[in-house]
Amino acid sequence: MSKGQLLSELMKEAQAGNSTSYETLLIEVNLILQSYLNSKIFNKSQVDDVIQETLMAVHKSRHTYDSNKSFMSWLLAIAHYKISDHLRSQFKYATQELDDTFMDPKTDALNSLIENQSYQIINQALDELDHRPKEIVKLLKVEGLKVTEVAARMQLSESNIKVIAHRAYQILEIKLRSRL
Amino acid sequence: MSINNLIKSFVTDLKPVKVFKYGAKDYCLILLIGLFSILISLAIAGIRNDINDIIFTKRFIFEILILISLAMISSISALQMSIPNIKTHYFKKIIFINLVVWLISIIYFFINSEFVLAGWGFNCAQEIILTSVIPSFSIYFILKKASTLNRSVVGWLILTAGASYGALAAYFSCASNNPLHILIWHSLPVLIAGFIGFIAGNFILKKV
Repeated sequence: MSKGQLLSELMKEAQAGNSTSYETLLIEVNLILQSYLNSKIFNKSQVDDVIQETLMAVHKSRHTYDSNKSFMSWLLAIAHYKISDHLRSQFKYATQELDDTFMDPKTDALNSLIENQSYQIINQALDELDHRPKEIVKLLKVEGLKVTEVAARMQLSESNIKVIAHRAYQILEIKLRSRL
Repeated sequence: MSINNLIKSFVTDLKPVKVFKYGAKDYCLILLIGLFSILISLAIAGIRNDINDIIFTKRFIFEILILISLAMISSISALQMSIPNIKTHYFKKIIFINLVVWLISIIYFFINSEFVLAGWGFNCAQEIILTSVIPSFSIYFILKKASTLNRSVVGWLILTAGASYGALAAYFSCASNNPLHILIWHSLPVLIAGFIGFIAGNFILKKV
């Protein structure tokens, strides 16, 4: 009995509900797929992914196998389709990644990097301010309070808050310029 | 999950399955549904007045045979291609040849014809689309249990088959013999339906 006939026989038994035959069949199929896919896909983890997907498809489609026809032809049709599907999705993913990274400079990754760095620089500059101007700038620009609210909280007049904030911005500007 | 664990999970809850394959019964069923929808369409739109004059002409017989062949082969191919098999490219070739022969024949008649204006044929296109609904859905439901690998091609075949039945109905109800009219209002809807099927197949048909 040839290997193809043996696999066909095992599948026939698996279709009838024989789990031992099905396990033997799937182990054999795994070996066949490994040798088949190793010549087509060079990344080992991707080979495993495609084998898993193909095994799942084999399991889902086992009712469509006609034992009068070649098992290998049936199996390779599924494997071939899964390889194409996998390569297509890989290509799409890679293209998308390239587009995101190089075509559009305002990517999320780049933006978050810029934001992180800017945040650190501004924080350092703020820390170097005296306590009162630092507090006022934080209340106005970080917490987003109005001048009247800051004045009430700091128990200072509104004009005082404006003057202190104005001076603090000037100092911050000088400090930030020196860092960029 | 490792491959060994995956295999074990498949084996542990294995249940017997009923082997699924298509046969003459399914093909005949689709043909009957197609003919039935043509009859409904003709009952609504009516048969052309000059049917007795043209029914035995070579051109009419040739075009009808081409369309019957296109409808039958497309539906058989759609069913066959929804079962994994490596030797399915023959079907695509046969249907492509069929379509090309049909289009070339219309162009041939167009070149040898005195008529030039296509005329307004929206009714024909509408009839083709409406007639194609029942056969297309029937094929879709018949192959729903199968495992369609190439979903876009099967989608193309389903709507080409359905629209071919529609085009057959249009040949019997539309009184125009103008090849340009047939090319624009009878052939083009079949091609467009096929194209829509090609796009929709990926979304409508279940992924294996």
